[in-house]
Amino acid sequence: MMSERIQGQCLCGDVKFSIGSAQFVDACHCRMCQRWTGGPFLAIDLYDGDVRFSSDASVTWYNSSDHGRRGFCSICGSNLFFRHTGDDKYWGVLSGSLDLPSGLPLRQEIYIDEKPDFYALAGERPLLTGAEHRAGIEGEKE
Amino acid sequence: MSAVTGQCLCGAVQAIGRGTADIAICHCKMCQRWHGGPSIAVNFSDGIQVVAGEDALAWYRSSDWAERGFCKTCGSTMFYRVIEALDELSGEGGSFDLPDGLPIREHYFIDEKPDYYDFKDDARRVTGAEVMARYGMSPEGKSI
Repeated sequence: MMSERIQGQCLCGDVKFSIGSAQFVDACHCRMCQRWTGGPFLAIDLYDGDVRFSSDASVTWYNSSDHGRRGFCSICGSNLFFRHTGDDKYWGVLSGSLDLPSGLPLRQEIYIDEKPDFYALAGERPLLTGAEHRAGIEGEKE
Repeated sequence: MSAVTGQCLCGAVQAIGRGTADIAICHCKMCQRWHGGPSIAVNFSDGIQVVAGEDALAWYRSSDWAERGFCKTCGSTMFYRVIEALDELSGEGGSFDLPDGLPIREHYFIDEKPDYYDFKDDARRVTGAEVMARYGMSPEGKSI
């Protein structure tokens, strides 16, 4: 049986896409994500590159560092995607852009050391500092 | 608090918030689509002034009564304003260099919050219908 794809779009609807599946949501509190989204960055991490666009003409990319770029809609400004430089398979898809099923767990929070004081997420899960998160990525590469 | 600085991710848009600040979190689907998650809005008693990069700001009219401002270069989602009061900006907490200890005033549109996150604070949670009634609008008045 074909499972249904999860639909996503920006606020104005000019960018439309779908992803194959979603297992969990990850949260990032780093200062760059705060500046970009205005608060915590909540995303579905995809490692299989399974993002299909039905409309992508308005997706604009900003290179926020040597490590990644951020995609947004140039018409309405919606924050949509994060991609790693040199990794064609990875997509971070902002969870608010997606019509997600209920029941997804929030897997982990990263850059907890950069989280501002004015909010905190409820619940128990691994909380990684930026250094711990980066060390984990380096470990996966070795 | 006297004044705090704010900026988008690339730094093109610079702002100052003056007076006392508080936080209001909105969970509506429009904010979710725009920010990719909830809006962590910050309001200043003496307002927000854009001090640089006004030409880098784009405004998107997301409903009949309000528009949302973002940086055209980096896409940072920064401001909200109602059309009847274009000088009165509401900001986003992440844009500003805020001090510790700011109160969360309320959570809006709690009935549109997805189930994969909750916040720890015990600030009042109000539904979309309650918010709209406060401003004399029917829930149907809110268009996505």
